[in-house]
Amino acid sequence: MKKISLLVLVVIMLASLGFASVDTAQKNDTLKQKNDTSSSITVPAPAGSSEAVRLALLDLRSELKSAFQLNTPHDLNAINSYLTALAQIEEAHQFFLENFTKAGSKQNNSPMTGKSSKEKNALSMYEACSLYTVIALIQINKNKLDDNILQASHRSDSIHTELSKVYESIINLERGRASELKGKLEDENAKALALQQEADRRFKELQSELIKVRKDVRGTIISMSDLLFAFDKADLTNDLKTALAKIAGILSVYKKFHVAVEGHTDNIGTAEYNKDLSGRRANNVKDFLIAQGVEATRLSSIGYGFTKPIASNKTKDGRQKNRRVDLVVMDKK
Amino acid sequence: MKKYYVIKWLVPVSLSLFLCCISSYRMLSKTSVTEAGTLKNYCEQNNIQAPEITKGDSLFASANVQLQQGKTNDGYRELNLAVLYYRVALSNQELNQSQKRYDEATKQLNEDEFQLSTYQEVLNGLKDLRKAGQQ
Repeated sequence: MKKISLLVLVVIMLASLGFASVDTAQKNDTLKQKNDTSSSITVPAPAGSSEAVRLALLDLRSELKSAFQLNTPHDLNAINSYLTALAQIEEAHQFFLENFTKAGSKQNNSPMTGKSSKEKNALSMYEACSLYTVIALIQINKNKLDDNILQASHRSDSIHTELSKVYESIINLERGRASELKGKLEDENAKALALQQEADRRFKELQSELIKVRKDVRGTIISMSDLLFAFDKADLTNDLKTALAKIAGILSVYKKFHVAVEGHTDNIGTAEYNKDLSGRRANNVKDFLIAQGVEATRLSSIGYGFTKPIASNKTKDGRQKNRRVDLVVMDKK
Repeated sequence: MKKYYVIKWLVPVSLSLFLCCISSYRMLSKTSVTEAGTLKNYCEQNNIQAPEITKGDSLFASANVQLQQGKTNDGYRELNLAVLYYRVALSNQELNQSQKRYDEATKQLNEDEFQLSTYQEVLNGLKDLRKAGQQ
């Protein structure tokens, strides 16, 4: 018997020590937070009777239910918060019904002071219910926002899909336009080629003993012998004027052609004299063409003297070939 | 014989019941204190500032005083309220974060819609040009 009593005593002492250790830990926390100031928020404790508080609880319940019905959440946290808040409200309401609601009782209408343990519990339960309600409402709102974010994300995805379709349509349209332009360009080129060929054909018709027509990289070259000029002079003979008038006629049709008139001589005489003579002949040809209606901007003239022979100056025949005026017909400047 | 029965059965059963109650009580009180403390620490570490936290801190401090004075009912009632205030603050913070994400998503959506309408205008313009070119 003594042993058992001793055992009970030891157990009680151990239990007391356990409490003491909890108390010490709490004491430390309390000391740390001694300077905390209480704030003036947030849940309004309804002033008035227990009946007013009970009705306020019912208001909380209906507010909660209507928020739930309006934005029914599918998030488990929100649903859990809602159910917890409802359960707490129900429990508190039951507490009020059991402890304060008595027919004809004065305490129904007398203001709650919170002095008695029952009133303290009741007010605390109300405050807890308000906080549970606030948390549930926040969770429901958050769930709604998260839903909206998800919807915005889906809408954004569909916009991006639509955007890529529009991009593709623009690209296809541009591709179509490019191939259309390419077709037009090819048509233009074909027309230009046909014109060029027609012009060449007409230039070739000028070909004679004294006028030679050939092609090189610069374009069509119409080479006129110096026999078409008066001897040792720059004046144009009638034969040359006739040929030049035909050329002017062709140039007036094919507007895109530009003509460089180049005078050349053989190597007999000084370089200066030959340059001057070839320059004057080229100039006269240019002036004649202008007089025939060819725009001056499409024409240029230069005298090269004997610097650009096309045959040997050692033979009579070669020198004859070198004495000439070339019309270089180019399809651009 | 009756005395022996009491010693053999009743005392150990009572003792184990007593121990069981004490441990549950200690566990419950510890849980409540721990939950409030954990939430308080979390709010402090994440520098979350809200009037609800001030209120929770105040209740937490007051609860500790009550528990120290042996007023366990009042103490745990205040601890529970402190936990709820911390939870309100944290829920509010989550709501604000969701609101921020929603605002950003809406802004992005508006920009996307503007871009789409611009490109649709470009496309329609090109189509009109093409039609005019064909005519």
